[in-house]
Amino acid sequence: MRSPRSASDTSVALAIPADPGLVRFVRLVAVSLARVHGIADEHLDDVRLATSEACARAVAAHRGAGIGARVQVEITGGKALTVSVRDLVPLPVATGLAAAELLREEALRQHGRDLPSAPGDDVDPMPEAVGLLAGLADDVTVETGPDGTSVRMSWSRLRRR
Amino acid sequence: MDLSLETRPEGEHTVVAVTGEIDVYTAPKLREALIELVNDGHHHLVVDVEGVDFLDSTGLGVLVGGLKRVRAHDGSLVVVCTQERLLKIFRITGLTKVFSIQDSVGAAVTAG
Repeated sequence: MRSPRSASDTSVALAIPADPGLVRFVRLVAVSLARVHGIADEHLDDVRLATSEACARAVAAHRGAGIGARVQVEITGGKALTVSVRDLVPLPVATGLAAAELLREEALRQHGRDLPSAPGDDVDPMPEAVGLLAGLADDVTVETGPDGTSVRMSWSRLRRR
Repeated sequence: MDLSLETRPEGEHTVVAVTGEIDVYTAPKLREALIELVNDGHHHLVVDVEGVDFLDSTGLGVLVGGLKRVRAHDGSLVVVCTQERLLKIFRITGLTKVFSIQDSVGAAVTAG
């Protein structure tokens, strides 16, 4: 019988090219590790979606800024499962809500640039990715700065509804 | 899993049955399909996501975009979904107030 891994005996780091087609592999890895670390089945979908959202945001940020470097993802077990996603797009220093607002503005700017010269009503609304994360993870920390943005999400192993 | 789309008429409605994963990579395919349908005069859409096993915020954005487009033609876009894990995402993002979400294509055709 499988038993949850103890403490921090596994930590996995991924570095993915800024390619939207690769985001699905990150969520596959995240869910596999969440299972290994004993996250309850009913929360695996939260880990899957939140990891995917954070990763997709970082990939879009790199593409929007023309940064060729890879997006860094680190998944760590322990008392909680922690998924950290880091991009390298420089932004002013901020944390918490101020950081989330900066990311929203940045995403809107990129979103506008990606669009063809379509009329205004042909624009799909920009999803509120960071707000969604807060509804999915036990804890979310967002930090922006000159070295990029770090989005850190965690789920307790003992979490109950 | 990739995204696949099947479109069929259902009375005055057009049903788009989606299977697979709707994410940042595959969502543009759904977006293009919905735009094409609206441009071809299909203004009463039923988007059936019962066969979808992953939906992210990009996918939600595409659905909201589809809704805006059909409404511009006095049309409708009804979502068919009974999967709790997808319904939860609609709830967290407040989109249960924006979409009519039905539990079957039959109910969606009646609602839309």
